[in-house]
Amino acid sequence: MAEIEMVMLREKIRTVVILLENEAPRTCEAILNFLPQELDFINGCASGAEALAYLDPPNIVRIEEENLERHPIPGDVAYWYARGPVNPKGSYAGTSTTDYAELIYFYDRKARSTGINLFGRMTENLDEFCRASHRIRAEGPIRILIRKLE
Amino acid sequence: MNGVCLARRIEIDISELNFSARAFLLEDEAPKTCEAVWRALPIEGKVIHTDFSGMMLNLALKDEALFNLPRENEVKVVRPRDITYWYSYWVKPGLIRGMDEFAEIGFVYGEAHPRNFWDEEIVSLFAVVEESSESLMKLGKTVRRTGGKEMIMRKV
Repeated sequence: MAEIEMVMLREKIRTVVILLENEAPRTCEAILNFLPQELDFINGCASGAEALAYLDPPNIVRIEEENLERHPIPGDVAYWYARGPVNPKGSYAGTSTTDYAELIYFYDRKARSTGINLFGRMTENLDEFCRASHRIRAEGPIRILIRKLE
Repeated sequence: MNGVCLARRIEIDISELNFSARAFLLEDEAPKTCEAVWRALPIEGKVIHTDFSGMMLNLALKDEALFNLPRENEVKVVRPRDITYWYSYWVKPGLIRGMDEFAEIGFVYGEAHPRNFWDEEIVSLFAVVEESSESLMKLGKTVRRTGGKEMIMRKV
């Protein structure tokens, strides 16, 4: 069973994520090939307790819908693709003008989703990781290192 | 009418972002909200991005004189430049986000639908920003990317 780790670099908080390779094989494979990455996670603006990092071209992974989840819970790790072109008047706050993708995790029950590729579950240190994520809206993005665990 | 607008105005400043804008109060449509806000000025606090309502910033109000204002000029549909008021006990008394009884001012900078986790919200529309929507859009996206910023609202 493949695992990745997510480490908040400034806060020094780490969690381990088990990949759901049976349910989301293509997403898991693509994400594993994409790692390691250091990404800045900001808060979603319509989904509640959702932290997301933009994967803007050229640093993008394009994956079709798989294992769609609309009722996320804390510790869910997911992927979402926006086909584009980007609407400059929309809520997207990244640098792409074409398409983009997001790496996402959820840190509280008060979250909702229109459908994301659920591909991982946090298994360690969930409370501390989620508690720190509550501060993103007020204090700014959290930089997270994501890499494979051998 | 000679085209001169006599409405009272407020100024909104976020010095860290070198942002300043003026807004006029909708005193005919929301007289009690406008009066209460006017009396409470200057209002200071950290404006943060909403997490459910879309392209909108929120300023939590700490002054209890601004709690429990009546609903006025109620709207569900908001547009960029709208400034709104919302009070938590309108929805349900008790804890929300771990806090009892609180109120907040909303600043709409793009497509937004006031709501909480459970449902849509009705808000009191009480002021409108005079500056262009583009400057608000830039402000809103900057706050979203970089986190909350200290804001001060004062009388003009």
